[in-house]
Amino acid sequence: MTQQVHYLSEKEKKQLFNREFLPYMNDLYNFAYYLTKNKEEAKDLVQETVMRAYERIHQYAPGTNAKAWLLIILKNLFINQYRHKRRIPGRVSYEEYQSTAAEHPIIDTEREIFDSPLSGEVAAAFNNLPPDDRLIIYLADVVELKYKEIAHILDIPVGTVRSRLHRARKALKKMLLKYARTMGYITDEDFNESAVSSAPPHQKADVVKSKKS
Amino acid sequence: MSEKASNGPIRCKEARKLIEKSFYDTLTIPEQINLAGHLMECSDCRLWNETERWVRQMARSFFPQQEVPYDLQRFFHKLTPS
Repeated sequence: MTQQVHYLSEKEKKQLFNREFLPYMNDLYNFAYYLTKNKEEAKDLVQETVMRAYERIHQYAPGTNAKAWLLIILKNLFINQYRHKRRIPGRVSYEEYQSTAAEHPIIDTEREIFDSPLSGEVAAAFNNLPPDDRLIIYLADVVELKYKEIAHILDIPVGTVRSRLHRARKALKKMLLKYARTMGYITDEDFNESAVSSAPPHQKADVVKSKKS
Repeated sequence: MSEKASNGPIRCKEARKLIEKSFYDTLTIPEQINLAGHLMECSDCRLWNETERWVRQMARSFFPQQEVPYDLQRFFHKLTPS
């Protein structure tokens, strides 16, 4: 059973921070970079997140998911900053940020040249994904969060995470396999529906048969 | 509730659910046995498994993970000096 940490001394807080939060600083920085697409802004965002987490460490239940807790703080701070930058008196929703992100693909020139080992076609496959789907792929495959944690961070139901991830992977797989086939990495035999769809073709046939009977 | 490896072979749909689960969670021993048994005899699911892994690998390559910059590391150490 987890316990709240209201009673922790400053030394114990530091120990807790080092033990539970420090291992996730790379994830935090990379997620900040994913959101801001700028190294300096990412650093500032991580600093602010860490300060906020440290101030509110009493709200964290030790032994629960520190990574998700930190990522939620970071995401909320980023949205607040985004609102502030836009200087719009009204509300800016996370969906609105996502639609803006669609116009500005994730790859920047620096990253494209120095970091990403992928060719233009493969990068295009990722950039063609809707921003919501791209974010879910990032959180699931790169940050390696569980569906429940992703749902918590994005404030959406687990079922929505599952369906979006399924849709995104299917689209991505289709694009990537097409590319692999044109490049001759796989044969036409490999490129069949069963490699893309999660519903196996022979089971679809079973359903049809059972309906007929 | 105790889990047992199923008596009969599992179907592709269940196998693919287990493959998906294996990416974000640990499979139980019975699940591992069931999945391994199914993959041995189903080439469709083997192919599906490989492409799923490949797509994940591509996703990781697309978002290369960077180390925290040195000045940020110094900031952490200042915050929590040992």
